[in-house]
Amino acid sequence: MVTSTRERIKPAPPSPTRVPAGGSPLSPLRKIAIFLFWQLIAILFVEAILFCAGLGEEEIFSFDQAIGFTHMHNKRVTWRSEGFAQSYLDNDGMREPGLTIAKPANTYRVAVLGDSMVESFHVPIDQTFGEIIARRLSPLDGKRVQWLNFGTSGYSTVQEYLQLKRQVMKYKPDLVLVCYNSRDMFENWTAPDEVITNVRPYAVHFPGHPLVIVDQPVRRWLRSPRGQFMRATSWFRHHSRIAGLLAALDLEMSQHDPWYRTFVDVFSSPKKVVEDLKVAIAGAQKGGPSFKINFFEDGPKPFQPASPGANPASAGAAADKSAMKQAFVSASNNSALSKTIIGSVTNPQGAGAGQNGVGMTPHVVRGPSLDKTVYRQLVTRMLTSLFTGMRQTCTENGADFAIMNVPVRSQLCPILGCETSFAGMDYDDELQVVRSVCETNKIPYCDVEQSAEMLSARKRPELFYAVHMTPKGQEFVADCAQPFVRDLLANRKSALQ
Amino acid sequence: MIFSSLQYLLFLPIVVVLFWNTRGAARLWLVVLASYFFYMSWLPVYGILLLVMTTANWLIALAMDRSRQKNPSLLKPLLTLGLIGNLGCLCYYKYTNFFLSNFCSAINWFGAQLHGGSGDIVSWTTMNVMLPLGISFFVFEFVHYLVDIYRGDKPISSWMEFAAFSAFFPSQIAGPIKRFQDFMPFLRGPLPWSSALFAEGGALIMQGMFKKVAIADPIGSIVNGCFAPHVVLSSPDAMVASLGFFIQVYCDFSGYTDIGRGSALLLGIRLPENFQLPYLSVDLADFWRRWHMSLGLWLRDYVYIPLGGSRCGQIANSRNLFLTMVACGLWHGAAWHYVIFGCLQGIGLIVQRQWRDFLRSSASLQSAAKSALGQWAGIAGTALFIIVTFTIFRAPDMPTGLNVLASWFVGSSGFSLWSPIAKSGVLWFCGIYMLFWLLSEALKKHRQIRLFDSVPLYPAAIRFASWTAATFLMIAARPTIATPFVYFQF
Repeated sequence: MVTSTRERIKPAPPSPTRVPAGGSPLSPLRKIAIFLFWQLIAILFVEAILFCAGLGEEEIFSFDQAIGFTHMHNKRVTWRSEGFAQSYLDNDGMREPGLTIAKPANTYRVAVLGDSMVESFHVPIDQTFGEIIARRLSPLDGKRVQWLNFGTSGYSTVQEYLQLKRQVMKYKPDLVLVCYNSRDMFENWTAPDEVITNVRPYAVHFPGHPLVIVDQPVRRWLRSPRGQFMRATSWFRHHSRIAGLLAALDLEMSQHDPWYRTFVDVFSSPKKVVEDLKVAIAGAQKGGPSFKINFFEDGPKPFQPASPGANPASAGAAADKSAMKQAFVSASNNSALSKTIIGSVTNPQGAGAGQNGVGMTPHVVRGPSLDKTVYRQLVTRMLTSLFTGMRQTCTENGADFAIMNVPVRSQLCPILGCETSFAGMDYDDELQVVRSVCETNKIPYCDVEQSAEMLSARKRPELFYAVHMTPKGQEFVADCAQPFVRDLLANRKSALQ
Repeated sequence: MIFSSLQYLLFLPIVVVLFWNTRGAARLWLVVLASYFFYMSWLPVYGILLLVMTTANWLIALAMDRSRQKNPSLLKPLLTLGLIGNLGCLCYYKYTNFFLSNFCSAINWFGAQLHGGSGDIVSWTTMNVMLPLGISFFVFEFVHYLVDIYRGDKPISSWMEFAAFSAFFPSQIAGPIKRFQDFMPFLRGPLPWSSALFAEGGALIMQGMFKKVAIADPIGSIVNGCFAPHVVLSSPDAMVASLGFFIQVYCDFSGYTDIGRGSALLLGIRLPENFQLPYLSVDLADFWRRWHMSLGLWLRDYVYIPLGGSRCGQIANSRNLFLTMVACGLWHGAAWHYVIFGCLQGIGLIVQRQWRDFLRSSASLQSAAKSALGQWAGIAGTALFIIVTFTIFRAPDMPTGLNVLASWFVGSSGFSLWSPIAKSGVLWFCGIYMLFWLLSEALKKHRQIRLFDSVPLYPAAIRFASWTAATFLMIAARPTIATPFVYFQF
């Protein structure tokens, strides 16, 4: 690695080291073998250094056909971006040390679901807001309060819904708390792309029909070259620190570096890049930024429902169809919107190809700006289904259910250049929808964001690193949510009596 | 686009491939276009500034050359015009706000004296001037070019060649400060492409990247907070902050130079060296011969010697040294702590010269100084002086710098920086760098070395293996956000 800068370039002298003991020149095969041998030495050397330095344990995700991705099991994690914390994910992907599935006696269990704001890998577990609340409340009515953090980076409400049914209930929680974070509602429709945390199922709910959750985008993604590569290397991603580093770098760069995304796109789906380019050129030729609009409509390939009850094709009257067209129309100058919302339901890797009972034909039109009201109706309907579905699951398992929100930097103290609204809705708009769903359906709701807005402009940045909450922010959330949790648990006790 | 970014890792191979597949004018066009693309990726409008300054200097140099034969009396006015234009530009972008704020303060001070201390009288807002990247470096190259033409060198007749010289992207932003007499032969006839060229260029790039990404950036992220105003530091924290910056600034700046020199080598062009193990200097004069060598040589040739150099009396010589180092300090930035840094270096050089004369007066003292112990004492003393003055250099202002230095002695005993140091793994990276450096030096001296009879040391395989290891270690040490190089601000 180190080379003398004083040496002039000169032809390399014939080196005896290039000739093996036998005297004959190295054969190409032997050269390759030597090359690979030294590469292996280098890799083992780096693995050893990373082990000694405690670095490289940065990969946390394994893939799941239904839910998209979950935490790895039996995995040590060292988180270095934003804050710093070391954690161990047990054989169910949980971070709490010594956690058992069976509920200990004299214990209230509070399960909290959410995304990275809840997961908080960047702060030690005992500094997360849940653990702070549990510490402060214990003992409550002679019982210990145990906090179970099910937060997983990038999770949408749909994924939380699936996680609740599949993983959470076996822990027999007394209270299930879902933390709503900015853009969760949009992520319920996000199309998979190169970012691993965007590999999600999506949910649609048409009037008069039950909620449909479609895992087709996940399955498609897992069959894509990138998905196959990720699955093929899962052992390395789990055990190798170098692979952990590469996975973390891949995630970081695919989230933040447009150059990297383009680079990956070109190699993994060149066809898509060409198509996107064509659309962009067509848009540029027509003058000004405008994007193609996709929406559901009966077309040459009609909807193919998996079961009669889950047929979105028969969704509603013409008025609803019209509303849906409106809802899935992107704003004329909002590329993020068109990509995220519209792409989600018609992406060829997503819902467009009907193989899972929901055959929807993508249709392309140009349309007016997004009608916020119609869009809000659609979102409200879907969130209502998800929240009430979760509550029903909780009730069936003897748990209470509540919603709270988390403070968001883009709303309280946005960094320069940070987008503060999405699909024409800022976080306040999203929370209005969540609040109205909770009020209508009588779901207990805790508004932490509102309390955070009362803080002075000077104090707000103290709550956050670049995006996620600092230990101070965790403490603040604990201060706000503690009375809410205490009351819910106390009400539960009185109801049981 | 910075050297340690993904964009540059895509940009450089494209330029290298195109460079070796073009010839003559096309190759020259490629170098110029690539350099302007690189420069304008920061702020496109400053590409125009560079273009205008390049054209103006090229024309002035041609006019000077012509006037030398036809009308020598015009030579000096033309040089003056060129110097005023170049230095005026530098002063406008770099020193306007410094002069304005100090002038304002001076007026206020006098006003307050006249009015019996009634407070501010003059309040001017500072101008909104953004410093074009690398202006300190390319202005110095222009000054060197004009002065050398004035002294009798032949100017570059082709505008394209001159544009390639002035905008050459590997040295554009933070040097090394080139000399056109050295650069042009390489531009006109690059070193032939060979595996040795690729190996040396690639090794320099990897070495520079490693120093920047795995050492300088993690250290910077640890010690930066210690240089904030009004921070209360414990003694160990303050000392580690000073020592940390001492290591950071070397790895950052020499890392940049290595990447730049390596990139240039891949284009067959050898740029001048900028560092020769400066922290092993036995005295301050030795340090300035090994640290930022291209700036030191520039200051010697275009400031120190024109002032009279050492061929004058002792007092005049001391004055020349002092003024040269003040200019060096001021070149680094428009703030008083840079001026103080320059003053301290000047005073240090004067004192060291006196000390050297004193040692020469006695043979026993001289032999003691030349002994191994004397040499190591010299290295330690020089390093300590540099650490102290670099602390002032790094701090945002004088009070903060003095606060850090005072905390060395009067701070509490806690060592809060240890935790981030241990978590970052930076000590491991420093150790690995030292190990690689020692190994490579050993391999250079003992080319016949064999690990086992059956495993010959196949140099290319080892080289690629070390690059692989360095790449993974850099990823392990990566910052969350690419950090600009320290010397970009100058």
